[in-house]
Amino acid sequence: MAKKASRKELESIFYKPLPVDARITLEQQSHILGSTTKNLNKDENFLIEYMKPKTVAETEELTAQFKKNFPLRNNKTLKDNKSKRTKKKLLTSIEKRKLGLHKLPKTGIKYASLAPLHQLWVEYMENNLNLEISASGANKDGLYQKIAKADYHGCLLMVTRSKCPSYIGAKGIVVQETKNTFQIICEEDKLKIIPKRDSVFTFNISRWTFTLFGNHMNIRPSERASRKFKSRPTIDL
Amino acid sequence: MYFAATNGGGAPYFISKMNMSGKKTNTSGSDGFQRLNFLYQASIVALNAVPHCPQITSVFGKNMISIGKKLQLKLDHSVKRTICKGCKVLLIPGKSVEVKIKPIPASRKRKSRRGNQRKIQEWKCMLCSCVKQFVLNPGYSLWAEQNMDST
Repeated sequence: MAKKASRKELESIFYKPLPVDARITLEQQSHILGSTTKNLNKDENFLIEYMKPKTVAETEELTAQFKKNFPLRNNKTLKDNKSKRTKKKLLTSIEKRKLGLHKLPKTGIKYASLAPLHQLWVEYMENNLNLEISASGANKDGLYQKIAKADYHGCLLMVTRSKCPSYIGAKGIVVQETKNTFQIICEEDKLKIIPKRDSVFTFNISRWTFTLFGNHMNIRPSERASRKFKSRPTIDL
Repeated sequence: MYFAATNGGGAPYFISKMNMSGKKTNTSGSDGFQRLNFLYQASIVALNAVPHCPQITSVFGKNMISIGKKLQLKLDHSVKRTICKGCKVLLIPGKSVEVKIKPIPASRKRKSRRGNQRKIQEWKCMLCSCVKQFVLNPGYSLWAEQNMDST
């Protein structure tokens, strides 16, 4: 309680009303400069009739209020920070971020609308991998190379094993692949960002299932196309 | 290696050569071309599926260009013209581009005896407002197209 009292005292020190002389000159100034509200005649009548039943003030006082000048209230907007683009075609990274090119919206995309994309991906993989011949062959290195170099946009991935238990069971269609993540649209139309590290993904093509070890796929998709993967003694989480 | 674009929604084709014995062998770089082909068709499908979010197509466009750079594959001019240079979005006239025909700007006009009445077709990306300009010349054919006609 003592604190509140001192607060009020402080307020009274800071927020004293202006001295009488200053008040008068301000009013004179507002009369000279005119009101900051334009089109006063149209609005005035409406405003007065609206205010009449609500206030005790008389109409003359109200009109005086409307004619006040608020010099700080100017209609100037902040200068539009238009970035001066010297090159017509290249975008700066700030501009790219503003356009939202790096981040996809979290809720706008629907799972059902991506079904044709998934179908296209399945056809692409079937043609690319040529599974009838390569899966039954003895030497599967060529097949594995192709899988490593393939594109996964539109793939229906599922997280089977992961160091973080909340990622396990996440299933959806890949919309974006970055160096460290797969960005997936799951059946609830949500965008899930799943890091590749310490996760194992699986996907199906007709009657074959493939597993991807995320730890070894921490590469940008475009660089994966030219990378040569070496065989390792143990692959696991 | 000639890589052509197919219409959106068509099935991707695979490039392969036939050996003397009839076995299929892969041509060099065919993996990359298949991937580019798939990405281009996928971007068209994605634009149809999610028309309010053209940023998805920029993901595909970026991948296309970077894969082309890494594997040193060249994009056909008909494909390259539909990828915005600034934001790498798929350009479809009317949907994601504004196409206008303008007179050639004075800075580009060469001093010639005949009045240069060439016009420019200007493609302006709706997302990033990057501009592509094509000079309209009825008698002109691209080098790639000329070679194709002769062979």
